[in-house]
Amino acid sequence: MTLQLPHGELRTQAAALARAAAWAELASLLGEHADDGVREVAELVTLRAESLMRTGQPREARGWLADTLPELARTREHVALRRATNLLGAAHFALGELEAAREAFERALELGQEDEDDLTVARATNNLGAIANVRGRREQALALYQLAIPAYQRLGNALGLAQSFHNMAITFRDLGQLGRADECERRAIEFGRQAGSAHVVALAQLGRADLSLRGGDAVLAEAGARHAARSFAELGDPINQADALRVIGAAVLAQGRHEAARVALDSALALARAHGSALHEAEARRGLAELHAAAGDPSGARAHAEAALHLFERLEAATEADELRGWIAGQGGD
Amino acid sequence: MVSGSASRPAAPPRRGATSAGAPAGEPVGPADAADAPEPALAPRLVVVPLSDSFAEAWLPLASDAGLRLQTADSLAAIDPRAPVIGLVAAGGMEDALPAALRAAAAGQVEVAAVGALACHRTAVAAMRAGAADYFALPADLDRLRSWLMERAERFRERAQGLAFAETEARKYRFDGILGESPALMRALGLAARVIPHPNVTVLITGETGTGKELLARAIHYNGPRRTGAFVDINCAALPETLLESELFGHEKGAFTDASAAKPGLFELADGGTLFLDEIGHLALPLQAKLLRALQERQIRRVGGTRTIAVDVRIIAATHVDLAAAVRAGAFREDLYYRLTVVPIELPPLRARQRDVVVLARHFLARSAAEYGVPIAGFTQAAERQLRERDWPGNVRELRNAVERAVLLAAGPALDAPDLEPPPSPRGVTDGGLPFPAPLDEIVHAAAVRMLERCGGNKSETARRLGISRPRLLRILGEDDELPATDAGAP
Repeated sequence: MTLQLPHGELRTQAAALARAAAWAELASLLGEHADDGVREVAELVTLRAESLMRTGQPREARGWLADTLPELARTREHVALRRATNLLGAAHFALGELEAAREAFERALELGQEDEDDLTVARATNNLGAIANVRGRREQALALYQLAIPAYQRLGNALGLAQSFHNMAITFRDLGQLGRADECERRAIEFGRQAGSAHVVALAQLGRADLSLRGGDAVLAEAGARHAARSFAELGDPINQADALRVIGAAVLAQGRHEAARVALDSALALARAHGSALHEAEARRGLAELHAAAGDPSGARAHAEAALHLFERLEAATEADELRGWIAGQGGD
Repeated sequence: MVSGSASRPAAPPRRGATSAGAPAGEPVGPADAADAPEPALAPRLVVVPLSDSFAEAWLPLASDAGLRLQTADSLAAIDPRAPVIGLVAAGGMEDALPAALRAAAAGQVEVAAVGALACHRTAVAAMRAGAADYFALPADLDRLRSWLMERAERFRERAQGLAFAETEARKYRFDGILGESPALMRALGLAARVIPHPNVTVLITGETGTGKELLARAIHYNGPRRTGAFVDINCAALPETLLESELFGHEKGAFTDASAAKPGLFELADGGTLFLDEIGHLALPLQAKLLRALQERQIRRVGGTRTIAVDVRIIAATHVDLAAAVRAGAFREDLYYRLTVVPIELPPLRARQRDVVVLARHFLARSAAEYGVPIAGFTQAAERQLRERDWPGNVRELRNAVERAVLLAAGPALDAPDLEPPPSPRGVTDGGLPFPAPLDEIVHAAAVRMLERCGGNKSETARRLGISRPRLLRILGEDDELPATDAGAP
């Protein structure tokens, strides 16, 4: 009797492309075979979804997964089912469908717990924490991140630990607990280094710079953010470089150096717009609004603030939008 | 026993065993123990063939999963410590499966059954005999491959987890704790005595920034529980209801948001250590629940009915005077005595003057490496300032001061002015507090502002301010009905 896996050649090609992180080619290959093999092989189903997510097509990934998940469940393909469910959550999250994302991550968590799959448990818990944080439920977010950490520890997954600690730092920061946030960023740097991820290390260093600024040490904040900006430039990550420039802008503004602040914030805005990051554009504009207000230009301040508010509203970032509305009202506008 | 060799002919053995594995392509062949090249504990797929059917499938399956392949007459002789997945394969001999499974599995190794019959009765019989699953080939070949790959992944995860624990253990080596002052030596001496006893509860006290968490980690990673998880939770970071579910877990539907069951930190720390930082902030109802967990070594999830046994060492830490909190009725006396089995007090940095420069040099080297700044050391004036400063924030303040100086330094060595404290920190507030103003006015305004932010919830306000509820009520002038003693928070 001959035993051969179905669609062996397609699997081999897909696995090679995934190993090489050639996501666009993989999405194209699996797209061509979507109804001609991919659907019948559980690992190809999830690989197609992953390739769609990684090539910025969350809507297509969501549609594909909604279509194929029932079959994975029916055929007891547990590994693929867990992974696909988590990916579905990620697709909903990317599309701003928070409730649907929460449901998918909860389901992935349940499946992970049933099958004692620590990695799915850790990822889903971490993702649920991110949703809670976006919704402003900071303490619930903390509780979730805290649960993800032992799972990542058991797996020896230093990168997961670094990401969870960085997420926790953001939440502590938003709660105004700057000391705890800083300790979490330190842990994120420690584990980021252990995992060899210069990217997470730079993110956490920028997080620490932001904390210094919020703590009133603008000089230290500027030095830390400049260091992070250099790292992001070396890593070829313009979006986070824009964020670092925004922190530099705010730090030098706090030191009364208006021209330096304008240069940094204009660069941040240009980078954010060039790379289509609405969130970073909104934050850069908020910084520019503060700069114009400090420079005695209320109409310029208002224009930037309203543009930022519009972006925050579009992103459903309710806390940021509320704070900005309060700031605009405090500037004496109507 | 085992082992594969490229020079030997391929033939499915009936006696002894063969082994082959990744990289793919290595032929399977009979061998003896003399040329066994594989590590004893390398992850393996051990196949017990009851017939020659499907023989060509095992090597590709093992290779895809990254497992070495071995065939054997039985799984009974397998080293139970070894990461092994078993398959009893019976193409055409399905009737013999249950007996072979009972003989092979012996409860040590996860084993699946493989046959040619896609028949419910065969599957049920195999699983009743101890198989984790039944796969009918060729239809289930893909599912069998996934099953093997998942288990192989678990082996890799477990190995990675152990390697991680070893790395952590190196980071937190007991003899790596810097300092030689007598006060520190006394604390470390006590800790050293408690390390080998995995169930002894430890209470670490000391001012903020003295390194309580570092010592807790050192106790964990140098002791017999080092391969288990070190789970830490700050009892002041979460409100009471969330903290309860965080510690003990909850069942589905236990409360409005509980859409799925979740284990708590006690369960996640099973086999390891649970570090309860700022235990002095634990609310009284939770103290009672913690006490029960410590006494009975079992917990019950929120909304659950069954008890769950947990094997956890508890290390608690606090910067408040727990004895005073007991006297004030804010901390249970019985829990206090449970926790203070071995109390270890970490000295403040001002009591460790001779350690200050040693610590500062260590922080300098670390920060200079982290930020790529070429700074060789401190000037004499800087070292004098390090020794003379009071460091109320203890080691954490010293570390932050050195880090700041490194990041901002202009010269090749850090000088005294580089170590000047940063501008006064300010919290994130919605508006300014009265300043300059009498201290009690500032304190009152801070309490009122926080109360507003907490929607009028006084317990939450006290928690966020880091003070006891009675103290908050006194600040707000609402303490008439309460005892005057402070609960112990600063």
